[in-house]
This record gives sequence, structure tokens and C-alpha cells, in this order.
Amino acid sequence: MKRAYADIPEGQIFYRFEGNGEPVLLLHAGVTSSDEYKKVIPFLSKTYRAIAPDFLGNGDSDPAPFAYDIIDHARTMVHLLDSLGIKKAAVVGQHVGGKIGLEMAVTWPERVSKLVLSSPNYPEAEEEKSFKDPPNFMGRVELQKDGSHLMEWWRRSALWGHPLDITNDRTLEYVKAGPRGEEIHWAGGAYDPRPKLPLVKCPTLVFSATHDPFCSMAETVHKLTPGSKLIILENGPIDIDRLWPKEFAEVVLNFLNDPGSEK
Amino acid sequence: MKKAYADIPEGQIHYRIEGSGEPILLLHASVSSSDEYAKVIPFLSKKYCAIAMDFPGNGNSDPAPHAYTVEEHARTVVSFMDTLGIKKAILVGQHIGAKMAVEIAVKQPQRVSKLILSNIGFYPEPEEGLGTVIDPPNYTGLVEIKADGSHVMEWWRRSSCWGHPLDVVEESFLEKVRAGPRGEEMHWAGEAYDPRPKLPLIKCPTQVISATRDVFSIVQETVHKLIPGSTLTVIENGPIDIDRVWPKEFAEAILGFLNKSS
Repeated sequence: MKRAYADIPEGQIFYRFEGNGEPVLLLHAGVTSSDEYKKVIPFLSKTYRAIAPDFLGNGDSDPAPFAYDIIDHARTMVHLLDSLGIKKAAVVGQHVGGKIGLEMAVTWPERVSKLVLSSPNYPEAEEEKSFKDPPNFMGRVELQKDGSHLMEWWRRSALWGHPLDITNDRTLEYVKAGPRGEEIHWAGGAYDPRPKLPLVKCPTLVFSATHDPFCSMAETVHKLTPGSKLIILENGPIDIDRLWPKEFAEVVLNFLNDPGSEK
Repeated sequence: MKKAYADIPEGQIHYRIEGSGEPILLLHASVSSSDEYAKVIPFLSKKYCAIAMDFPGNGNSDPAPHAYTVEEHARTVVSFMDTLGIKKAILVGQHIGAKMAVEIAVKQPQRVSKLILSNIGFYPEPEEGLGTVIDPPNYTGLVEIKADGSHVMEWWRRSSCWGHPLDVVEESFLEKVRAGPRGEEMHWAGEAYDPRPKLPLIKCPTQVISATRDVFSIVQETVHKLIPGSTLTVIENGPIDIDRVWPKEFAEAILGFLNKSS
């Protein structure tokens, strides 16, 4: 797997890539980076050209010039495809990355061949919330002289009970993103995908894991997306692309190889 | 300034680049990265093609396949120059980066036009009468990843022990997290390398930069005397990590030397 930068009008986008064939664009979740796909890519790259970018303000990409919303991020991804000379790609998105993929599919349908939404979510009314965020999960974190902001980032990374190396990787992503990191979570929270889902024209897979806090929303997302497929992985964890890379890659590959579109 | 990767035989090297003209290659200190030159490059790039690379295992470059010595790091620098098609460059090195620069200047003098050594270090014996280089307590010991996150605070302690401004502390902390538990290998390589036997063999025009508050300031006069015809530039009250903390003064010292020696 190689790492590189692409120059787009908004700045430099960092990305990981491997393999040849039909391009598959892998979009990461909030305050993470392409690092979350590093164990998925080797499975995909045997038959596809896998590309995993860091969104602006995340990982090793340049900061966003202002607090980007989902459409701003989607535009940068289209600019990335332009810069790489890719006309059309399959797009896979995890959490907020799925919202960005959805926005690409709806606003730039000629650029997206297939869409995979991994544990997509939508804003729920307070009284009917099936999932409550962990306490103070998305508040702004300021740099402190005593370094206490680092323990706050460590706390947010550790609260999912992941193995130590993954917690450490997550903390590094928080440090890289810095105090502005949460902007992408806020952008995700402010975006309701439900009005957009019926407009999706390409073959779509809605995919979740039973231990992902957004799992219960997958059914609704599936019903709103015409002709979509739904797959729920029993006992699958949150951050499934990091924790169960093989199972994640198999689901994606099965769909990409045979999207079985009814459209 | 742009960031990019170069594919060398040892792996991928991450670097920053700006400007055109004669290449000036900037080599960073231990458990650091090209980021330490991010504020220096804009001064140099007006006249030169300024390039700062991350050593293997540091910043965003691939990890070193094993714990590299100074000589091995020097070899990757030459591989990097080969990949970029650079036949000859001005080399600038900070702390251990200056040791790599010395190594290249002595072993492959045809690749180095001029040499700038910023606060290059060695640990003098008491009988040399130079005083003692005092590192902060437990500054270069191995840090392992701990379930309670305490390793993060240890990296923060090491980054903040110089009293730098908060943004500089945060930058230098990020370098330690990126490098991870293997990061200190580079410090150990630096400690194991005594540049003194090599210094008299340097043939190209050389500048020795001394920041008076740097822990290695006490040995700069000796370094200067050991390098035939070298120029000693003392930056009064200059801090450790001078390239990060005083980028303008650092760049001006370099440009002053390059203008005079051309």
C-alpha cells in the first residue's frame, strides 16, 4: 500500500492506495482518517483499485478553510476524483463518510457507480432516540498547557473498549485533527440523509453491524433507498472496518462483484 | 509549500517542498519531522528549492526496517536525493540531522555543495573542560503504549520540558505520537555517534550554528575548530529547537552564510 497527496483546488488531500481495476473510494468516519481502512484495502486491492483519502481537517490532509458541511466534503471528493483522472467510482462510506458518499451519489450521480453505506444514521427526535452519544463525545477540546486535552482525546478513543493499538491509532487521529476536529462530527449531525435517499439511482448496499449504535436505523435507510440491499452482520462491532476488516471487505466485495440492481 | 512522497528502495519518504533553484535539503532532529522546518522553508524558498524530508520511522515516512544508525539514515538521504534527481545539494541539519549531514559530506562529498550544522552534539569527557551536556531527566527512554493512556502524558512531559509556547509543544508532541514506541531509536542512534573524528575530513564550505540556550552550545566552539575553514555563527539567547521556535533568525543566519560563501 502506498501513500500520496493529491492537489485539489481546496488544498492537499492525503490518500492511501493499492491495486488496479475499477476504482473504489473508501470514505472514513468522523475525526478519523484513511488509517481505518488500512486492513481492509489489501482484500479489495486484489481485484479493485482501492483509494482511501483523508477528509480535509482529518488525518494528514490540509485543514478545511472553514467548518465544512457534508456537501463541501462531497465536493472535495469529486475534486479528488478529478485530480486522479477517475470518471466514476464505487463509493464506500463509514458513518459520516456514508453521508458524504450519499451526497456524491445524489449531486454528482455520473461520478458514482455503486454506493455502500456502512452504519448510516439520521438525526432522531430527542424522545425517540434509540442511541445516545457517550457523555461529552463531540464537544470542542482546547489545547491545555498541562496536556489534559490529551487524556480527554484518549478517553474518547478508549470508550468503545477496542484493543489498545486501535485506541492509540484513534488518539493519534484526534491529535492530528486538533481542536477543530469535531467539526466533521457536527457536520454529520446536522445532515439528515432521509430526504436524499429516495433520489439515489445507483445500486446501493445498506450495511450495519448489530453492536454499532446506529444499527437500528439501517432498516429505515434501506426502505428509503429504492432497490437497495440490506445486510446486518450479527455481533459486528462499531468501527467494523478497523475491527473486522476481513468480514467488512467480504461484504463489500460480494456487493461490488454482484450488485444485483433491480433498477 | 507542498507535501509529497518519494519512493526509495527502503520505502516511502514523506517530504515538504517549495521554491525553485539550487536545492537545499533540510534534515530534522530526533523524534521530529520535516514539520520543524515548516516556518523556515518560506524564507529559504524565495531563492532556493527548499526540501525537508522525514527520516524513516519519523513523521509520515515509513518505519525503518530495524533500528537505524546515523550511517543508515545518511544512506536513505542519498537514496532520497537519487529519487528526486538531485545530484548535489546544500545540506542543513539540526542536532542528529547534522550528524547525517556530516556523514554524507565525508563519505559522498560530490553530493554536498555546502554544509550547515545547527547545534550538532557530542557528549564531552570531563577532562575536556567543556562542561556537561545535561539532558532533562528520562528524556530518551523507551515509552510503551499503556491501557490508561499514561504514555501520552509522558510524551507530553518530554515535549513540554523545554518551556516552548503551547503550539510548539503540541507540534513536537504530535511527532512523538506519530513515531510511537520506536521513536527513541533515533535519539539512541544520535547518542551512539560521535562526529568528532569525521569533522576534520569535511572539505566543503561549512557553517556551524550555535544557539546559546541549546544544550549543545558548549561544544560548538570545538566543532568549529575541528572543521577546517568553517564559519561559526552564534545566535545569542537562541533556544533549543531554534528552527521551530525562531524560524526567522535561523533562516537569516543560513541565508547570510550562503550569500557570503557564494
